[in-house]
Amino acid sequence: MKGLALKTLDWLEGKVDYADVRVVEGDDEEVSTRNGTVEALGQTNSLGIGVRVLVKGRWGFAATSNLERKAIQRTVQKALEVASASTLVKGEKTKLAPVSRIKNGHYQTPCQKDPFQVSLQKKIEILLKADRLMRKKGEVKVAQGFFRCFRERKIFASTEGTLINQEILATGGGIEATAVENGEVQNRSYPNSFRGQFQTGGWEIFEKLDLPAQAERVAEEAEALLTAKNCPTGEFDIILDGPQVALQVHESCGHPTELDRVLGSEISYAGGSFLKPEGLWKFQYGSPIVNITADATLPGGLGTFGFDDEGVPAQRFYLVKNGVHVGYLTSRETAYKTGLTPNGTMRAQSWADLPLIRMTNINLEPGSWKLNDLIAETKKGILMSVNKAWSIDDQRINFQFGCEWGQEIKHGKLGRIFKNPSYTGITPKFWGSCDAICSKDHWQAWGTPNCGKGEPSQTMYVAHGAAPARFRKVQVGMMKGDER
Amino acid sequence: MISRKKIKQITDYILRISPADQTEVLVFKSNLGLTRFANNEIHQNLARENFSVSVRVVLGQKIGVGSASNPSKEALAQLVKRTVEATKYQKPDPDFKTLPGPQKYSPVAAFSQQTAAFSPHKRAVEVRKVVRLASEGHLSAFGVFQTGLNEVVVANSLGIFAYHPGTFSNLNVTMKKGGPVSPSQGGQSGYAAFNAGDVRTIKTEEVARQARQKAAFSKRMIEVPKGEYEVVLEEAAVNEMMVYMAYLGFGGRAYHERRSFLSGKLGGQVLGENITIWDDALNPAGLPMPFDFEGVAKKKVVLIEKGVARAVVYDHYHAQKHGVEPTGHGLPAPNTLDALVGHLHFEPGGETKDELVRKIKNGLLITRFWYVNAHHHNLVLTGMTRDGTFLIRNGEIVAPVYNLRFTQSIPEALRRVTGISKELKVEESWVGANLVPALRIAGFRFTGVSKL
Repeated sequence: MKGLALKTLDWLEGKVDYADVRVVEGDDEEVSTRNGTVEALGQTNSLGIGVRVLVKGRWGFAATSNLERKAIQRTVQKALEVASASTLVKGEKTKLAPVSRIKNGHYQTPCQKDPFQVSLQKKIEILLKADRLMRKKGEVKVAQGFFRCFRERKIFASTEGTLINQEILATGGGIEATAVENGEVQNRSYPNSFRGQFQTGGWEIFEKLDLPAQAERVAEEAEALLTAKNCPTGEFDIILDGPQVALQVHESCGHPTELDRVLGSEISYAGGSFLKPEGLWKFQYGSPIVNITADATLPGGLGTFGFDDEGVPAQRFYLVKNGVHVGYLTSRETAYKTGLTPNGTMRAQSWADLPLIRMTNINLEPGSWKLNDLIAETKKGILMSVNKAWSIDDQRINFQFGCEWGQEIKHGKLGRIFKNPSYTGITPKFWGSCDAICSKDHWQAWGTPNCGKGEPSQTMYVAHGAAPARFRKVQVGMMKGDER
Repeated sequence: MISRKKIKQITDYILRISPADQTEVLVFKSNLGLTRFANNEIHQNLARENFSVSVRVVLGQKIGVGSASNPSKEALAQLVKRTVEATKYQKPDPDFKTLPGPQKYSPVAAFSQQTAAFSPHKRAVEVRKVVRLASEGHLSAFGVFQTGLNEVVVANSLGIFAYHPGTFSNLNVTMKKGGPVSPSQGGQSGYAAFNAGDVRTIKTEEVARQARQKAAFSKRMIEVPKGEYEVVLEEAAVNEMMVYMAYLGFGGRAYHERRSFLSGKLGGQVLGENITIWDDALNPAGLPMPFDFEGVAKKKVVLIEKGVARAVVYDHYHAQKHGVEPTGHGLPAPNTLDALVGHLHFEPGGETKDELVRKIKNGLLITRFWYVNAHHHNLVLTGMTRDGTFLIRNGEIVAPVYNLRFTQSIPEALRRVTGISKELKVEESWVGANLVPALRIAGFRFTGVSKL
């Protein structure tokens, strides 16, 4: 792979302002069970090369899965042709902020046990055991279990002399019970919805989840939701659990701090951002206890790596400090345009895709509360757990989330269960109402393996360190009675 | 483009060497050219080709799937070997009977040589037209011009060999007021798009003018309070609703698991009497496809007839499980979703879009929705309006408004349709293209406004 990348750069010599080449091999293994059968048993391998060139200040990119010499030479020509076409529409020449050359970069995800070496039999056994336990409850009509691991081996080489070899490995899974009765359908998941929890690392991550141990609880809670009251409508103090805080960070802080969005690159699809450059270091994003970092070095985070796809080392920095917006996720191009520093967030879904600014591990830094104390200190509120639905506008201002599980808090005690809890708000007002964040003991990096962005659409693996947090006077319950 | 002959060599080889009781081969070959523009410049531009081969093997009632991107004989042999080895660990699925047998396919015309060969230079020339029109109007243009070819092959050991080359092209344009320096401040914008199998049918300047007309609306943007409004949903907005209805409502598995809004209601009135919807992948007006990803021939399926639920769709596995005929809506194995309709066709009405607007006293025109998601299995959706939301007063569009959030049951909305456009538009679906009208709907529910 390394030889291929370097040879491809040779073919570009003298023809470009700048070029980089990525040779990427991806392996993916997936097992999913449903109602006692193994619904999916899949193994995927994908290998290819992507060539990005900057010619006369204009970008071109071409990629192929055909690694024969002639095919790669054709791909190089195609990238040059595409860059040449880009010059037909006039505009400012693209320039890149300088970065240090990495002559022989290397990164490998730490791993105790290679998940690809663990037998499929073992994986199936664990999932089917959890499946059996979930279906002990009569109203659970669908029991599902998920396992997935993926590995990405990539070589990055640039005309600036950077050469990096990385191997990133991630593992995870989860369970979900769907209870159905009299037209009512309710889900409960563990440890998170949408196929569970993912981290960088090996088999030890999946083992630690201990899915069978949670299966009966998950099923009981799904069943209990069938007869629960609907979440009330009105203004309430709410406590969000870790997985829901993670998604809130993802949508309302992670995306709007992507500098390519801010500068308009995503207007036609993912949208823009309300976080204007002129507001940097001034704009009050949240309350003074809100501190949000981007940290691609976080051990085990799904957005953890050694170098981004521009060859910039992984970094940790603040996006929001003491409630004030202080940073963006940047690329070399956007950093040059704005006078900021490239901070290593450019990643591509695969060899076939252009790198874009992507979240890494975007974390709400922990506070000092114990969850029990926080509940005890809340007079009237609702605890909401695990995301079920999410939506936010193209400027990341107005959001609305639905959760799987709601529970009344009355005079400091947890009470009735509510089904279909939902809440809505305006991003800075909502974060401005955050008055308590739980401590490191409750804090965890929640993996999101399906973050979408770009055209053609790319999905990326990112994560969000989060602990339960409280928000005051939030609009809760958006559905009409007959819609619930 | 890879030839039918070359692909058949690959599928024949895999079927010959596979020791499994039954084997299915699914090949995707794609060529994509995509030019993206923002702030009146081309900022991302790519061309790529991809090949993937996927093998589904059946050992008794054990099923496993493997895929790879390398078509060499050695790599294919390795793929078959590792997939068979993995499948030995699988548990038997008592509901699995067999892969589908030989089918008869209706011919469809889905290939355009001009589209397959459309060059980066030609795409840039079209983008330049958009940018020129935006600049003339002191607007910034953003969007995509893309063309491509997808070749899909399904072959199996029971005698299926199905090859389908289909081209596609898409232009979408967003224009915004304000210069390129700070385009992301929200503010007034307009959107228009066109999808076609043949790139020659895209009228670039017409699409750009549609977007420009909305972005350049002369009145200032105003805020309207949340509440229920009569609306005209343009085709892109209707399509967002239909894509979710396809995903959550029309699949046979969801129906039998009682998770669909149609569960237990076939034969019953579920939508308004003026609503008829069918799925027809053979319609040349969409992006037609003669078979699904299991090689089952596509069938026209009437889903809703005058508001009455008539049918749901099945892949081969669930059709066998429930004792019905497969409808040709299978996704690539392993499919953990459901059968999926991707070529919805809405029966047109009799009004022009202008007529739809003229009958509204106090309402809204919605260009498109964004970030739609389902709160509930019964299709209570939430999402935002985007790139062209206008206040209608006494039949006239009077002002652009700040984007609004809706929270609305879609079946309920489709019971309150008061007008349907006579023109249908091709809009992208998850696995094809839908043909949808603009709709006038009473009492559409908005629950928030996007404003700092």
